[in-house]
Order: sequence, then structure tokens, then C-alpha cells
Amino acid sequence: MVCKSCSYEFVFDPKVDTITPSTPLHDHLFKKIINHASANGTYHFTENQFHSSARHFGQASLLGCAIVFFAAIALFLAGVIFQVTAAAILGGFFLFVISIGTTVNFLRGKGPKRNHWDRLVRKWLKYEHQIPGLITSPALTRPPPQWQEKDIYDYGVSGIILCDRPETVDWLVYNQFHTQTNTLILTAEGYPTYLINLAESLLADTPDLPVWLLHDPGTAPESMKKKCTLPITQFIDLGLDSETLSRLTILKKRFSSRDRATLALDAIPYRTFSAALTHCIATGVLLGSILGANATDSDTDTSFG
Amino acid sequence: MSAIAATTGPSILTLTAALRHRGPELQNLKSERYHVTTLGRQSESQTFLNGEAKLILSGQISAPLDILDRLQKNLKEGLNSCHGPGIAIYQTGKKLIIARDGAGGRALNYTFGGGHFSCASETKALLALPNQLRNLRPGALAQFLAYSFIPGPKTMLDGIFSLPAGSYLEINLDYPTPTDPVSWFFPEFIEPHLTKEESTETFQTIFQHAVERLLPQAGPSPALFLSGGLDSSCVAAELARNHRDSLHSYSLHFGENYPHELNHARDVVAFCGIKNHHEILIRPKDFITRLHDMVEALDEPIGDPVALPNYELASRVGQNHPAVFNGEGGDPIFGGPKNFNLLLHHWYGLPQHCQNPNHREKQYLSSYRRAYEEISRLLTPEFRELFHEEEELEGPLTPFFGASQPTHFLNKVMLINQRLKGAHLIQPKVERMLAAHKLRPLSPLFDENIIRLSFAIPPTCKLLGGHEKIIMKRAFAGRLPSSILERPKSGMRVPVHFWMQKEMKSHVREILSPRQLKQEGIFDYRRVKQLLKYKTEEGPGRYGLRLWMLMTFQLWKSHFKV
Repeated sequence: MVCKSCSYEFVFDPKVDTITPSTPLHDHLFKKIINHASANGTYHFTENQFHSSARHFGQASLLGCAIVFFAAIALFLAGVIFQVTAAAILGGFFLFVISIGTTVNFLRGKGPKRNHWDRLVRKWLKYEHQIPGLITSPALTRPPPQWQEKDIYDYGVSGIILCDRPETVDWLVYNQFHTQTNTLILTAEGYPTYLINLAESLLADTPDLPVWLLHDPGTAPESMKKKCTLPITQFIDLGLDSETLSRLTILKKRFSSRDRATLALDAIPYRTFSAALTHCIATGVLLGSILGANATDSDTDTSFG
Repeated sequence: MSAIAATTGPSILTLTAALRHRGPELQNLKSERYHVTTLGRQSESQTFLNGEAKLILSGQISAPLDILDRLQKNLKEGLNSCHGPGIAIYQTGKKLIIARDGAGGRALNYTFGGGHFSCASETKALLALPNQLRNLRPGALAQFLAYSFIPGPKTMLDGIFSLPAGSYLEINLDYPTPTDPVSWFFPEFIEPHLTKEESTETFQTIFQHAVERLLPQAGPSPALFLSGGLDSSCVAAELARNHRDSLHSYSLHFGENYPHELNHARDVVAFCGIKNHHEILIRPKDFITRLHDMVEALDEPIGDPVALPNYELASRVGQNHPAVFNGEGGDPIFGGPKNFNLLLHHWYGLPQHCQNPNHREKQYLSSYRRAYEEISRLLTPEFRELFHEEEELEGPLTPFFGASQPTHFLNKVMLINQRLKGAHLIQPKVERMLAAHKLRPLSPLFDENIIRLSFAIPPTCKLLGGHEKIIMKRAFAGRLPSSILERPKSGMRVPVHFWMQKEMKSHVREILSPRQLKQEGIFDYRRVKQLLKYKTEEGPGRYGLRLWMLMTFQLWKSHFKV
């Protein structure tokens, strides 16, 4: 499809492309989802987060459900009170059924399934459109250039964060979590490879440097420890389990309870997650406890500014 | 408290009249072609005469008796033999040299308007000159949003400049044409050469001397702003060594609903045996009617909310003391947690970091966490067309990052912090907020010898393993509670985020009214509305700080009729 006035070539055809059976997808909506995932261009985001944002737009509106529900009740009562035709009562009944369906749909958090969403993303990219901010992992494959100054690596860090997936490293690093918390972020298996020597020398200089394990609920911390080749004696597990993730209000709205059981940690919006993680490494409280207690209003770091 | 004004034109009386709030006229230096006047306290003005050579000093400068000979032999070496915050104006032959101290302890603004050179301690004196234009420099507003101050030498107003720290201007008295400042204070050329042990011992000695040198100005009972952070605690420990009975320490808080550092300050008071400690409550209902006065006293737009506690604390302390010690300088000279941010920025080699030639400048501005990212949203497209964003925002930083000296990256960042933030934000802000209440700032950490030392010590004595100001912590081990030495940097947390939603809400809405903003065409009122509602598409942010910056700018613009 091509716009007659500006010759813009549309990627999606709302008649064919949908994010839910009742939500047609058009280019403008796709851009809105990009905007949502990146918090209006503020953050980089992973494919998991992109999908999570799409689920946000696939939700039926609770207000809509309520309006349809009460309209059905009103129509049904009006039919009974004013003794109008059976057709009106039947119409009210059908509206009632629809409202129940919509509400169930809402509660189950209907949005695009991951495979379906990935197909839509590929379609967008095929038309050579960019998705600004989307991280295609693994992205950290090339070391930085030789810097003119020799002291860039001389001052150490506050700690090391070991992740279970390269995507998590990319997500945090692209959003500059390492610069804000003065941490080195790697996977337990040693990604990015060009920072392994640095990690070894940091640990040699400071053997008691805190090393935090950050992983999806489905990953066992013990398996990460086994994979890790760095000379670390003590790990601090940040402890995020699927139960905590499942209880997060923001994810409840987007995913069914079955889906939430298998979510990765980057389904959480970056701002909420980074505020919780910052608090967690500063205080030693478990990540699950902070997220679960809603202790982070995602404005923690800025309350006084 | 001290002030100075000079002109090659006929308007010296106009300049001094606008500075009268700083005290009476003290000394004059004049010839047919120029006129200089100092104001303030007698102890802050000195004159040296020797034949044709004349020198007038304003501020807390100590100069050797043979200073005129030294200046005549070698200007830069002569200036380096002076010590302390202030302004020096030196005439020899047809040249007039106007120099600012190395640390930037006193500010000086100047203009070449109307074919004459004029300078003064405050912009308001220059604005009083006949025919002086008051045109806003659009790029300066972008700088204000990114830095929260104007990094100089250009200011918020077209045609008015600010002399950089450690620089001088050479004015040809026959033809006073615009000229560029020349640097005379070069700590960046000192290579680290001391060992860790030597560094700590030297710091202890120099810091002790810096405090002792300032003590005579403090009166019989020295006063200290004690925040509970490391820097002011070090000053407290040094002062308490000989003056614990007469020392008065002052701490502030914002009420029981807001976090404070009173417990840390009390720990220091107890540990050092300070006998007179005062805690002062600062609340919007007490200061809101004085905001206009504060902005007038600031003289130029400064968006750092810490100006407010400086001003309020000074109003109480100024009633009992002529001067007050503070811990300003510790961050830009020996630490600052943002330095880690800039160092780690280099580690991963992200394409968007490494491929942009100005990536360091961008990272520096971003780490400041003011309103750098907000500029494209906050300023209207029409207003943004009036300046070159990269040149205005990154331009002031590029000469530092691109220089071959200092050789260490950390020292490059420290030099930026001292020359820009220290000399154009921290020190002018503190000096003016205190001067408004007849108080002099005593900042021993901003001593020139301490600045020189900071470039002579191994850089790892400043930052290491997540800790900052290592040298200060080593020097004061055993002299301060371990809780003070080990606690992470906090900074003074002015609760503007809450005030703007509560006590100051109606006030800020009035100042940032949509009608006014639409009329001016500078700020996008729709964006300001989002900020006022604390609701943007980017999610929660530093709304309070941004609103504070906008509010102080609007108050400044209205007060100075720009």
C-alpha cells in the first residue's frame, strides 16, 4: 500500500496484519509500540521488551469492558421494565456475553504471541525500516579502540555483574547501567570476550570484589557458577524467581499467568528494572524482594532532583 | 564580599553604584585612560605602586612584597606568586592587565561595549552602563539547560563575557579592543611524581596551611557549614584541632519528612569535640517570598538548587560571623562519582560511543543529569534554529579532551570540573549567596596549592575501586569517624522533586504560565505542562530539578529585563 499524498509505502496491511484478532496492526501503531518500548527514545530495548510492549497495545481496555458490560445490563433491564420485544432482551443478552468475553480476554492479557510478533518485526525490517533502539544480540563483538590515555582501565569498579545471557549484558550496557553503577557486566561464560582479561586483573587486584549473579527465573545460579572461569570465590545471587516476576502488576496486565511463568527478566521495563537493580547492589537486598515489595517506584534515583 | 569595577570609559560611578550592596568604596586607581575602584571590607583591598607600575588587588589575595618587580620581570610567574581568591588589576605603561585567581574564587565579567573596556564583579553593574544591550544569547540557554550554569567565557547575554579562572586579559589602553583571555595558571602541566605516602603527607601539610591562612578572616569564633559529607567534615576536623571550643558548626535539614544528613554531622561534631553545633530548618514557606532576592543576588542564571540552602544558611550565619568555612572543592579536585561514569564509558566500545568524535563530550553532559536530553523537547524548534547545538554544548569541553596535557584521562576530567564547574558554578554561586548576607566564603579545598597537588599525586590517590577522594580519606583516617570515611557520596539532596509537587506547586505554575511561555516562544509550553504534571512519555524523571532550572531562569530573565 502506498500513500497517495506523500508516497509513503506502508509495511502493514491492517486487513491482514493484526496483533490480536481484534487489533489490526498499521504502521503508526507499530511506531507507537517502538516508542513505548524505548520510552520515547530514551532507552535501548531487547526483543523480549519489544514483545512485552506489543502485548501492552494488544490489551483490551478494562474501561471498554466495563462500558459494554453496563450497557448490556441497562439494555436488558430496559427490555424487562418497558416490556419491549424479546429481540431487545436477546440483544442485551448477546452484549452481556460479549462483555464477559472481552473481560476474560483482558484478564488473560491477550496480545500477540511471541512467534507471531517476531514475524511482524521481520516484516518491518524486510522493508528496510529501522527499529531505533532495538538491540540485536550479541552486539558486543568488537573491542574499543586503543585510547590515547593509558589510565582508562586503572581505577577499578565497585563490583562485577555476571549475567546468564548476552542479551541481558547488551541491554544493561547499551543503557549505560555500567557507567551509572560503576560495574563491569559480563556473562558467566565470558561475554564480551575482550573484557575477560580485565575482569581477571580486577579480581586479582581486589579478591573480595563483589560479584553479583543476575539471571532469568528459569536459570539455576549453580549452573552459572559452573560455567564461570573467573577466579571468584564468593558469588552474590540477586535472586529473582518466577513467582516474583509473576506478581508484578505491569506484567500481569500483559501476560497470562501461564506465560508469566516463563518470562525472562527483560520483560520488565528498563526504568523499573534498573532502579531496582541499583537499589539492590547498593543495599544488598534481593532483587526479588525489591521488585516484589514494589519498593522501587522507578524514580528512586531521582527523587531529589 | 569584596568587589571590583574598572573601565576605560567615563562610567566608573555607574559601575560602583550598582555594586554598593557589597560595601563602601575602598580604593581607587586611576589615570586619564582608566579608572579602578574596589569595594567591600578594608582587609580585602590592597594597592601597590612603584613608579609607572600600579597594582590593585580585590579579595583574599596574599602577594609578596616585591610583587610589582615580579610582575614586571615575568607576568605569569608574578601572578603565580600570588595566592588566594581575588581579582588583580595591574597597569604598566599602556597595558592594563586584569587577572582572575587560579582557582576561580572570585568572578569577573567584562564587556567592550561602546568602544570602552569595562569590568565588574557582577553583571548587574555592566547592565547599568548606558546603552548596554540586554540580548539573550540563545546558545547560552541551551548551555544552561545542559550544565545548569554557563561555562564561559561567553555569558547568557550577548557582548558580556566572564573571565576564566587562572586567566588574564591584556587591554591596550590606547585602543581597548576585544581580546581573548590568556591562561597563566597551569596545574595541567604537572606530571604525577609523588608516591602515595608522600601524597598523603603533602596533602596534610598543605591543607593545614590553607585552613590556617584563612583563619584570621574568620573572626574570634570561626563558623563552618557542616553538611555531614566528607569534605566539610575534613575542614571540621582541621578547625577542631585548635578551635573546638570557639568553632560554630551549622547543618541544615528540610523537615522530618525529607531525608537529611544530620546524624552524620552530629557524628562529626561528637567525634571532633565541637562545642557549638546548630541545626537549621529550611522550608519553602519561609523562603518562597525571598526567591526573587536570591535570583537577584545570584546575578546570572544558575540552576543548581543548592544555591537555595547556601542563601538561607548564609542569612542565619551572617548574623553572627563575618566569614564561614565550607568544604567546597573536594569533588572537583579529588573526586566526584561521575568520573567513574566517564571512565567506564570507554570500556565496551559501543559503536555509538566510539564512532562519534564527540562521544566524550556527550557522555560528560549526559552524566551531569541536568536537562541535556531535554533540550530538543523543551526549546521550541524556532528557538533551536538560533544556535548551533554541538558548538554550544560540546564546544566548551572539546579543548580539554583534545589536549595533550594532562596525560591522564582522569586528570582531564578533573581539570574540566575545576575550570568549568568549580569556577563558573560552585564558587560564584557560594560567593554571591554569602555576599548577599555580608559573609565571606572560606574554602580551603579550593586553595591553589591543593589544586597543584592534585595533579602531582598518582591519579589512583583520587579514585580507586569504586571509592573517591582516597587521599583525603587516608589523611583523615583516625581524625574522623569511620562512618564518614566509608560512606558513599551523597551530595546535598534538596527536595525540589517534592516541593514542586506540593509547597511550591502554585508558585512554579504561576511563573511558568502557558500564556507567558507562548508569548515568549522560547520554551514549548506543552512540554513544560508535561513536566509540571510530572507525566512524560519517557516515564519518571528529574522533574523537580528541571522545573527549578526553568523557574530560576524565568525569574532571572524577568528581574534583569532580558
